[in-house]
Amino acid sequence: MKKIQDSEIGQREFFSNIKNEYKFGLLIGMTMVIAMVMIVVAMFLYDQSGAAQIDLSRPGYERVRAEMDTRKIEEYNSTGPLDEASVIDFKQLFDKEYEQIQDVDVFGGGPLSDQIIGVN
Amino acid sequence: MQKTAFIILGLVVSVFAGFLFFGSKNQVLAVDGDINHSPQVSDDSGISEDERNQHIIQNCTAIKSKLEQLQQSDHLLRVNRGSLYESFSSKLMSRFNGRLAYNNYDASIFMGITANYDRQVADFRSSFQDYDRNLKKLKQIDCRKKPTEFYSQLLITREARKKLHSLEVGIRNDLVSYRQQTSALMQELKNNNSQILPVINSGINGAEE
Repeated sequence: MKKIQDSEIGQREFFSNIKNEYKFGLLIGMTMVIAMVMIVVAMFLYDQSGAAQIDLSRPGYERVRAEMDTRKIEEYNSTGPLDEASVIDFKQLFDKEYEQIQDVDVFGGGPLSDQIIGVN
Repeated sequence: MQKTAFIILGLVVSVFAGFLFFGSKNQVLAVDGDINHSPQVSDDSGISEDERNQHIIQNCTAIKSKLEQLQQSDHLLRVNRGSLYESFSSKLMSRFNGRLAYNNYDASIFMGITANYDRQVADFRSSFQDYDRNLKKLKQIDCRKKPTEFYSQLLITREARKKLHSLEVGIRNDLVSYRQQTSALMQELKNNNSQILPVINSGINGAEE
């Protein structure tokens, strides 16, 4: 029983000595470890949330970054009378944007076809 | 001081080793998953599996480069289309619905289309994530060493892209429907000399008898 107590006391002293001797080093080391863990968690969330897919500021995206559409769509006023003129206003705003996508078929199967990819 | 430096160095090295270990493990798992997947070889092209594998092995570098370019242009499309679709809903359709409600006009048809549209846009976002993950997985497979697994993953990615495309078509159809409804509304207003016929008189928006 006494032996166990002695060894426990010895262990406590040992850790206490380490704590006192390497206090500053431990502080720096733990800070770095915590920072790295946080970075790993942040990168995981960045990838899983889909933010990575819409982040064109990443390296390697210089070419497509310039083609990013930065136009702002004009907002329609939600208050006011409902008459022919107000509907025409809305249709004009709507059509202006709709023309951009009207006949542009995106995410079609072409780019991944055997011929285009080159597996055939 | 030297001891302190050693402790810090030891911690940094162990964290990096752990990071590298888990990173490589994930990659291995991704590829292992594909190995377990039974290869589906389409016969549409009329060439044998061996011939196709030869094509894949020979053109591996070019294929990888095409996939890289495709991923970049898809991300660009996702950004451009995504922001446009969201703007359609928040800056135009919802606001027009608000205008209709403000004037006590029964906007239930417009609201129904908008709700369906919003749902499809949300599906589009999540489907894009699935598609992108599959494309990423495809890029990670070594097509020189594992052409069969590569082609299986290509088929999976193609299906994911097909789903994305059908959602995109659905979104555009909703926009067409909304536009048609505004045309019908305009006709109604014309017939009534620009006077709206308030459907809701009780003050409860969207209430139907």
